[in-house]
Amino acid sequence: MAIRRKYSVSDVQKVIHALISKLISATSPWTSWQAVYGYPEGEVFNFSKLLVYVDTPIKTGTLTHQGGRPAVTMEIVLGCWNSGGDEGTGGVEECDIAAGHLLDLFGDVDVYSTQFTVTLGATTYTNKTLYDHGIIVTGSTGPRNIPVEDPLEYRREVTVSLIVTF
Amino acid sequence: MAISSECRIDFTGWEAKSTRIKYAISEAVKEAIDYGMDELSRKVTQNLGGMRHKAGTKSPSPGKLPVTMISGNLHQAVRHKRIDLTRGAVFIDKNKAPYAVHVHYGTKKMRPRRFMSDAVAERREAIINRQRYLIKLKIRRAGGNPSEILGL
Repeated sequence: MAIRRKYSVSDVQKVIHALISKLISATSPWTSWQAVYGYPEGEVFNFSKLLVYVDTPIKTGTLTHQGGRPAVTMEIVLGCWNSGGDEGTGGVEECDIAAGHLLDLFGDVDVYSTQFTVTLGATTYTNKTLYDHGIIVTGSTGPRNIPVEDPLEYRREVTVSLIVTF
Repeated sequence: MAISSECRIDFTGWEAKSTRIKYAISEAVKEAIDYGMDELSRKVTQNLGGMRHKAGTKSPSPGKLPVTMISGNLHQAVRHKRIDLTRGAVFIDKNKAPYAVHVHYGTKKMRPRRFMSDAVAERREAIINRQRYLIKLKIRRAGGNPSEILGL
């Protein structure tokens, strides 16, 4: 279990970002997209690819059991934003494909077999899975259509529910 | 010679108790939904009640809750309504604050301030616990056993 209790919010966000970055670096069609840690602010809209952003997770509850340290339940928003440098190439369909891949990733046991490398604090964890980090996926919902300002901009959000153990 | 026997069971007490519990549950659910809507509206309003700043100036705390106010319209646009006996909704009046969706989900130039979903995530467990308590209490007062009826 690599997630640190006092840093659980940023650690979970880093782990999920590392997982998605790994897929983006190696697997088609993920390679057509770009992963962003946190909300994509103004300056990152120079990217020529669709953005997959990993927003800050929110703690939704605590799971207690006798004789053990409590686990926490969290929700994390993952978004797809087709915009920026390429003015939304692929259009709404590309955005829906990305959202579909996110939903499928977190709705399938394959999510536990992807190995990725992440640095939490001063320690680098090489080729670990989500399960090795103590994260269990309990569900994913969406995609929600998010209203945007520009006509050549498309945005969807998926919410993933997690149990984080320490 | 015929032998006959008769056994009469009086269910009137059971029926009265059953009716009483059914009524208690419907009243408790109504109260629980009202509580949920009140609590959520309170939290959402709190998330929208940041400090005031002048129009045309940048928010002193971008991307953070509570949302800072310019006109205060969004802060005053929190509404709730009962949909039916078991459902209620907390929402933002679009006519009062049509920009609410952009504040909540963010734009290219503005970080999101998820005043609604953060309120739900933060208060969900407390609301459910309180609702469960209210329903159990009403059932117990009506003479029922909550663990038998609700399986809790």
